[in-house]
Amino acid sequence: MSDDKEKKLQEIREKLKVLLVESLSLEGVDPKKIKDDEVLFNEGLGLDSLDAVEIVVLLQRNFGLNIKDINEGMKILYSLETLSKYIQENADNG
Amino acid sequence: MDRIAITGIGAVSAAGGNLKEILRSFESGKRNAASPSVFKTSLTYPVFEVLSMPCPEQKGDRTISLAMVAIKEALSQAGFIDGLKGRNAGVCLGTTVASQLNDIDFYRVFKNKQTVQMEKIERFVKGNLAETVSRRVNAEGPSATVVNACSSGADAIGIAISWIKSGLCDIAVAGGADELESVPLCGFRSLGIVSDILCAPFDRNRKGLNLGEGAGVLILERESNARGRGIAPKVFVTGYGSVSDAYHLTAPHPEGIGLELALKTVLKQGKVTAKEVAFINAHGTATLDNDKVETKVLKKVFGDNVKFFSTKGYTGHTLGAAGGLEAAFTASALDVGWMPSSAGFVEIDEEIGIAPIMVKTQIDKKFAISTSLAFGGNNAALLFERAE
Amino acid sequence: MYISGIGMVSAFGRGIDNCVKVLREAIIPETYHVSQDVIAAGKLPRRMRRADKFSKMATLAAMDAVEDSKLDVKKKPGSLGIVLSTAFGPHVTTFKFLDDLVTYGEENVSPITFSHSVHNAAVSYITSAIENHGPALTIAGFVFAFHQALHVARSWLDEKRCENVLVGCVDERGEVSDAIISGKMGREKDFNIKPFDFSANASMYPSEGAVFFMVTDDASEKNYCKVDGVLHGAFAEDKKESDMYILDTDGLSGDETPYMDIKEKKAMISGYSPLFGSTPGLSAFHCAVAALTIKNQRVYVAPVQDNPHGLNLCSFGKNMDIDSVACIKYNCLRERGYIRLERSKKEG
Repeated sequence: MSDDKEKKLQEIREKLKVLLVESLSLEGVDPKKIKDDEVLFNEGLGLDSLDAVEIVVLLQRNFGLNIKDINEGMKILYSLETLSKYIQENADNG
Repeated sequence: MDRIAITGIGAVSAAGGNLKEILRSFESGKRNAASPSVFKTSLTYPVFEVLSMPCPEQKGDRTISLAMVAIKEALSQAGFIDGLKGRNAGVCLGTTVASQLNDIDFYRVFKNKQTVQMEKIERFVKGNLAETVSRRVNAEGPSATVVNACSSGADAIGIAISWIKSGLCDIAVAGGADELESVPLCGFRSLGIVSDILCAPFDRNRKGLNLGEGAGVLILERESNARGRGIAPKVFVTGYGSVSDAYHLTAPHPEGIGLELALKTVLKQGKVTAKEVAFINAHGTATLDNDKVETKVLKKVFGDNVKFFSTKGYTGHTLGAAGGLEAAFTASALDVGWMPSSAGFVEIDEEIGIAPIMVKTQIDKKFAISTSLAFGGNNAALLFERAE
Repeated sequence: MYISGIGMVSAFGRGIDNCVKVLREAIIPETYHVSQDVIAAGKLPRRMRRADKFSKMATLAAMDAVEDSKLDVKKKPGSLGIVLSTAFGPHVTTFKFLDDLVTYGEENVSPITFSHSVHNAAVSYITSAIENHGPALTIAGFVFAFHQALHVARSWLDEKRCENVLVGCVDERGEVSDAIISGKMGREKDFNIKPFDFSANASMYPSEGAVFFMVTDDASEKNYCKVDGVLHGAFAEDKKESDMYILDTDGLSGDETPYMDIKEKKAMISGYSPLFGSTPGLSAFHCAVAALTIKNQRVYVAPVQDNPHGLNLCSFGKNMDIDSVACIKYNCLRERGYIRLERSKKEG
């Protein structure tokens, strides 16, 4: 990956970490301490089904992205890494 | 044993303006869903609207109007055409929408101009469902508006039964009413559980619920009270179970522990075995989770040959009205002797493994159950018994 | 039906001990908000991270009532029922959802906000927090919802559906609700609530909070008191005299002249709305004060002593024999609400 692309990906990761902590009320979680490849559900951040649909809305509001297919969504939302890459590949400014 | 008798039933939904019309829709399989006309929206999801009720000028009256249509029908059947004055009567009704100030225009005006449209507030504050209905039918006993999401109507019936048994009132108007509105449509859609096509409860390809509106009401009293008025009751409510999953705000417990316990509670209360139950009028919203969990429990409690159906294919999910409407349908099914097909079902889901009733079917036993699984994790079950 | 436990969250903070302190010292709060610090210090289960203030206040008060009653919920998780009453429900979140709609459009609203905008979200959290599997429901009403909730609790116990019931009341303040109340009353909020003026244009100041009671048919010396009677409506009348009357005069009914009836009573009169603020659930707060009065055999001074009608006002706190307290409420239609509490056992 080019330096420019990696830099943009890192920006997306950092933005996502802050968004997730704020929007999902992850009390006591420091965005800076979330790993770049943190698994989002069950282990890792321990998110649940309600968080999943909230993330779908976050993607719409903040990146103009629309996940319509549940099965596709499960793969995209697997980890911070898969989510960040999806945004980078598909967002208007990605 | 002085059973709780149902002496009047009233219902209004997209399937019909009264119980007779609704039963005709069940027989014909007619499903009256369309794009909403009672509110403006850019969303394109089918809803089950009560077209026989014109859109009122004043927002907020629709739920009360729907409730009064069903209540008038029920009171007339029970022989209370002139109301309930002097009868020690209570009113317990479930709703969701009517209890919230979900007025987008109101909020928009407040946000932009910092002014409060007081006529809307006056209507809201004076429009508590059970209190308003109590005044209109001259009921002088207890009243309560239950706001328990999808089990509100069933829980309202359960409370009314408790009131009568503990002597707080002799007669009760109980059930639920809710109007269609854009706010719950947007909200449920954001949860990913609204279908953009006609709902298909229990079907392999189900995509979620369709919203609906309506009202379903029962007139309840002790059997001795009814017979004292010269009425021979045809159906009784002989059990009410209410159990919390204590699991999650929006998802049902994956093993359906609350529903299982609610079903076992009503069977115990009614001194009935699972085999004696003719059918279950299931909650059957057509969401992936609800239908999977609910049928898992039905199989566990009643066996793989359980007869069940959902009427939400004819009415949509009427939220606070659902428990009341479905109680009305269950009681009247026992009365008329047949159960409707589960509209929308085409193909069995392997994960579920069983199919609902697919054709109009005669009832050969005298007990039936209606279930309601609420957003928030409450599970309600009502047991009905046909008279000998 | 007996009260075996009480939990409370109000402008003064949290807990019955704090409530007693405020009653003894007649401490009128500086603000009628429940502080976020009180909520944050609450040690709520982690699964409540997304919950709004309405649900958090309710859960804290409910958990405290359970603890106060010493009931081991997990021993028989199906035998405890929960009834929550509210006037406006989680309206702050409802309006937040409407704000989402207006700001982001119909397709970009928050599902978390929507899920918490429903009236029964709080009870759902309470069942999870205390791991209870009994019946749980929410009742909505603007004036007598708490009375209605007590009736439900009474009938559940009579029917033996439950062995104990957690019954309570929650309401919150918000920008929109403050504006609505001021608009309806036709005047701005006024910090100087005067509970005994019985004015046709009574002062009010919107507040928020939550109160929960554990009620049971199990008579025990540890109980606070007995709930002797609950009535509401046009025909609600005292059938018995009480040693003390607490008036729900917080200005929210607008016209408090119906309370003039109380002048006929020779018994002691009091009212504590300046401690709790003006809230549709004031009856529940006063019910807690009444229970404490009976349990502690101590009357608490009325925090505002203005007494233009010469009532037998509770002018100072003192220990005394109190067998019964009645909490009286009128709505704007002059319908009456009445809750009578009695000492569980009379000394010989």
